[in-house]
Amino acid sequence: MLEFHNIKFLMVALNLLILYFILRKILFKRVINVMETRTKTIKDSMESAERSKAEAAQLKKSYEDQIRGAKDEADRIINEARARGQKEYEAILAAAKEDAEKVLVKARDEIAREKAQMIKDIKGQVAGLALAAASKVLEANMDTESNKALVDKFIDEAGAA
Amino acid sequence: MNGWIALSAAIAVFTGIGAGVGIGVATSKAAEAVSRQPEASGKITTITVIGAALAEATAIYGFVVALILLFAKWGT
Amino acid sequence: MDLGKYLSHVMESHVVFSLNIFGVEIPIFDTIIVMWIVMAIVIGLALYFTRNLKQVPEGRQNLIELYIEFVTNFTKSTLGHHAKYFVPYFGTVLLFLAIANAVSIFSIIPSGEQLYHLTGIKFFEHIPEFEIRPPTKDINVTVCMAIMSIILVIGAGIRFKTFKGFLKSFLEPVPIILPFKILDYFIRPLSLSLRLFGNILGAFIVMELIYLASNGFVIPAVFSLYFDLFDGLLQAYIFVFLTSIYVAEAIE
Repeated sequence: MLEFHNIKFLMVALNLLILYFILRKILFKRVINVMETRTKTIKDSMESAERSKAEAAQLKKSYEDQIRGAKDEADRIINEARARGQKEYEAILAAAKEDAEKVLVKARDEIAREKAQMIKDIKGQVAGLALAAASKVLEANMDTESNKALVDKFIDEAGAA
Repeated sequence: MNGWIALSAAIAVFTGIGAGVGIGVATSKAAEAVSRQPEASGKITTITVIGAALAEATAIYGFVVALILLFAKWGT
Repeated sequence: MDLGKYLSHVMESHVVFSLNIFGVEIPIFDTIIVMWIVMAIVIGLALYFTRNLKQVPEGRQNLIELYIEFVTNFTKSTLGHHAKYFVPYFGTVLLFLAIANAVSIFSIIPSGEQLYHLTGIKFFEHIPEFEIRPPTKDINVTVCMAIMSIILVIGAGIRFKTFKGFLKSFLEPVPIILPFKILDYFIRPLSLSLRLFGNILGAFIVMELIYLASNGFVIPAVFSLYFDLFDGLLQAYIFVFLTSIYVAEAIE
């Protein structure tokens, strides 16, 4: 119990050293290795999850941007089309109006011209007729009867004209 | 001679008084601390047990000295 | 046999048998044999608990990881970031001391001589003195462990502070402290070993007396829980704790 014993002392030291080296090899190194690997794995997977989350957020943002851009584009196209349509419609309408006006004016002119022509013609004819009638009257005015017939004829002729 | 050795061994074991007083003081302070902060009782218990075991050392030294006095082979 | 003679008999370690190697007689003490048994238990446990380690721990792997986590945290709390070099040593010493101190709960197993009388197996006749008693009740074991601890302290001091820095630490904070610092390196292993030895031997003697008084009937079991198990584990922890504090002081 109390006395020192060299051989015993040496054997104890040897035992402890052997135990230390065996345990370090089979227990501590292996378990600490496993634990460290696990810590590393967890850290890595957490980091990658964080990364993919950020990536997904970025992707979502870009998609949203794209959708918003597409919507804007569509709006713009529709508006443009509408504006163009309106303009075209107005242009067509204006052209039609102008055409109609032109046609109207032309027709009116025509009518006026024709009227003038007619009046001129009638005037000419009336003058001719009057001349003819006068000459006829001059040729055969002794016969009242025939005069009367002549006048009737003249009137008929005039009416026919 | 043997009588003297036995007596001195008995005197050596008086170191136990110191350890007793020390552990008593430590425990009373621990009780105070627990009553002041009951939520820290776990930690206080651990510290008290370790402190008591350390304070016990003086008593153990006395005990070992007594053993040496009694069992060491004098003059052989 | 009177009580004093009986007690001093059980306190001693005895030569169980002796080996003859190259004409040199090597006595094998029961302390050494119990140490071998404890080592076998420790190594067996280590092998059992580390069989097919997995990344996702389950069952027994949790237990061994709990133990190593405990030692790591405890070492880190005193040594900081240098802890990883000391975890295996402290873990080994803690495990060995815990089982070696608490092995006396098996001291109800009779000695070789009694076993021979009980069972008549020839083998036990050759080891009449053998009985499972804590190896740490032998001062050789505790002194050896304390000296290994102090070698570790000095080695750590030289390793982390260089030899010059380590020598310089003897003169800090004032040179006049030198003799006390040198004395420190003798007192520390002495106090470490005597504390462990005295506690275990004291508990062992008390338990022997209780066995004698109660004739081994039920009562010792209750006391054994305190004196063998609790005290043994506590002293193992304190031994490692103090060693780590000394190491921390040396490498700071």
